[in-house]
Amino acid sequence: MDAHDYDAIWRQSGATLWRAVYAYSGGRRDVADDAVAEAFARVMARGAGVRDPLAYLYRVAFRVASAELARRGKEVAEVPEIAVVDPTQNGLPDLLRALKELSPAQRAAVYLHYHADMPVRQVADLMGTSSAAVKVHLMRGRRRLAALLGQDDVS
Amino acid sequence: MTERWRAKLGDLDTQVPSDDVLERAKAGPTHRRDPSPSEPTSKRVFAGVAAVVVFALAIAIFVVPFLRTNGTPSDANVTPTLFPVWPSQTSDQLKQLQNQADHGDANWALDPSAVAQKFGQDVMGWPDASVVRSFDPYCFQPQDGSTPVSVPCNQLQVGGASVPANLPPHFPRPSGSLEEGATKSYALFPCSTCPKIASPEWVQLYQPLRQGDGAIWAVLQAHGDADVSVQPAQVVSDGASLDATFYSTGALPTLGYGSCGVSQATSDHHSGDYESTAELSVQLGDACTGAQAGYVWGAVSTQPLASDPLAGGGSSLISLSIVPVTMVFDGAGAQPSASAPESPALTMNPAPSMPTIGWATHTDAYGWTIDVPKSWTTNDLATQGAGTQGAEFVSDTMSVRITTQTAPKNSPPPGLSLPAKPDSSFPLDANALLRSKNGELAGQFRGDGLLFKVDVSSPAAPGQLSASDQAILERMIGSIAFQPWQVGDVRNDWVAIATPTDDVSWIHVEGGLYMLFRTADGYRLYGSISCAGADSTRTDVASDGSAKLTCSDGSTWEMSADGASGGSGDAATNDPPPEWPVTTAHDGTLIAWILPGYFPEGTGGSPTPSP
Repeated sequence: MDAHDYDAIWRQSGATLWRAVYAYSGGRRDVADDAVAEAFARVMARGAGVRDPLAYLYRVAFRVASAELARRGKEVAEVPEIAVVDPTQNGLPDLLRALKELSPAQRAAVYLHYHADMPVRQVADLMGTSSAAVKVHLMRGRRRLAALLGQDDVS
Repeated sequence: MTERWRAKLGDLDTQVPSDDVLERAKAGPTHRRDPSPSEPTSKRVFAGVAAVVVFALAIAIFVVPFLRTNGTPSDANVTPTLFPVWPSQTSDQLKQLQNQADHGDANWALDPSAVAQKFGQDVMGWPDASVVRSFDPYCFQPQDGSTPVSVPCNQLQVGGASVPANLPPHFPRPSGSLEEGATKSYALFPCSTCPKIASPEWVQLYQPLRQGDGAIWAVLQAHGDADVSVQPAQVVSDGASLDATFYSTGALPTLGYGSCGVSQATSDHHSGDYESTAELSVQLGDACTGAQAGYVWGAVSTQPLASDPLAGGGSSLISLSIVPVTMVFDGAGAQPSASAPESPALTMNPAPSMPTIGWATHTDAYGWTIDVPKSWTTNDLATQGAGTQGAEFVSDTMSVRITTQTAPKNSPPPGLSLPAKPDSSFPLDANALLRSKNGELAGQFRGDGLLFKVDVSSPAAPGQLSASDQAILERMIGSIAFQPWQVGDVRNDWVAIATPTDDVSWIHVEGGLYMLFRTADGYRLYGSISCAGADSTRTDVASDGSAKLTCSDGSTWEMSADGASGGSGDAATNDPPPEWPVTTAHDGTLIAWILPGYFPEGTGGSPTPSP
């Protein structure tokens, strides 16, 4: 894949990026939409000047989302509107309520590492922080989610 | 099987972006521009090294440099030309260096690793600079099946050997060995013994005059914690705008350029966020005319730079990115273009000296030493009798505490058990040693038989260290050392004993007679033993491999490696002596922890202290 084929990047990585920002923002899809769109807009504007577009996208998207959350008062007061694509699933509100108990960085780290299967170092790179910090986020996020959602094994 | 909370993360997959996200992106940015986002350091490193290929092509295209001293008047007509940035940008001086090398006076210039190391010493201001050849950007290898960990690049197998699996998918894959390339790249480290992992300076070299054996090498570019806005060989005109993004918390970023004796840099130094930017307009004046060799640099330093790093101002450098460019002088004292951004600039002239991070060696009461910045405060942590012993080293932003626990006299220290664990391998690797723990870093190591604990805290930024503190910490941890042992030395109740040449040995240690067994599982030491306080008539090895003691009354006492004892006559009724920990010290010497004069009941004539 051409490293600067943004349509291809969107198809391959856009959803994961968007969900990471969605988790980061505590389930605010308007924040995720806006941050990801802005990130893609900037990477397109810079073109070949960005050597690693995917890493750039994550960094911009988190930054834009962070700024927007700060502007809105940092945290949402209630679980936001949820767009349920799969009508058979109904666990998302519980998940989002639990995620709200985590910091934005913990949410993003937990999602990227435990669900998107990214190594800690890659998560750190994408979030613009250190591996040590990510490990702390993961540890705290994991403990909190286990306490809120249960830690029993499921099939 | 998956934990419930983890499985529920999958619920996020039901959420999808709005349909118009990509279309909105294609309409262009809409937000007020935040500071430029960074590309992760590791990726920048990879990109820097991947530039090897670019440079190989560039060399082929531009044919290697006969430096232009009479450029064309208009940059539109200037042919981009590669110049080295160090040790010289002029062809005359490079030829002179080649001539010296031909006569054996500058052999270092013929060895690319020596050139890289000398760049570290002379430009970076790192007297103990060391280099590691970097073949490609793959400084990661998988661990535990999925999580890549960084390792020194020279430990990776590349060029026909196995390529580490499980690399993040956006890392480019190697297309083959770069061994035969026209350039060579090195990771440059500030010390000879520091961990060869974190935050290296990357230096790329080539042969500017001709290629092959016997031709000198020069630094083409270096890459550190700054991304400068120019590409190698780019033509930079008077009035152009330069910018750079820096990635280093708590250190000072500086952007500058130099050409034909003109040298300028930003002066609005500040240390703050991990990511910062700087801008600078090029004002070349009329010192020269036409196209000239030049360079643009971005430095991260502990002190404000008083001069261009290539002019001797780099003694407080943490990292340096420097790119060779072609500067175009118009010869008429041109002013910056009206569109050039305003930027405070400091005209930089070569300065003779810079403040440096001075280091001092601290020697602890327990014999270990560590390098500590001179500006730091050292607090000895000494507890009378048993308790915590060690030292705490403190700066404004970080504290490093190294302690061990001691026991009351005649008691084994906490954590000592059978079999005793060997000393750690030195030098220590801070990245491998320390783990994040409640927002701090902590780790343990063993030296001289003692267990030491390391605690690092950074109150201003729990869980994260600035690049400069990280570098300092790595040097400190890497410098921890213990003195070599000589047989018979006694330290902290440990005594050095000779490495046996036989499986069973009788040895004298601090006035006592001991049995030392060499087994497949390590050494086992028993003792001391005597014939009711009298000397034995003979010590030897029984036919079954037991150590055998014969007393003057003819009675014997035997003991096997597993601690079983027996014999004949009165001596056989002795209680078996205790086993003492034996381990391997940091320098390979065998050391044993014993209580001299301790005899089991009935075997000795000396008072028996309480163990």
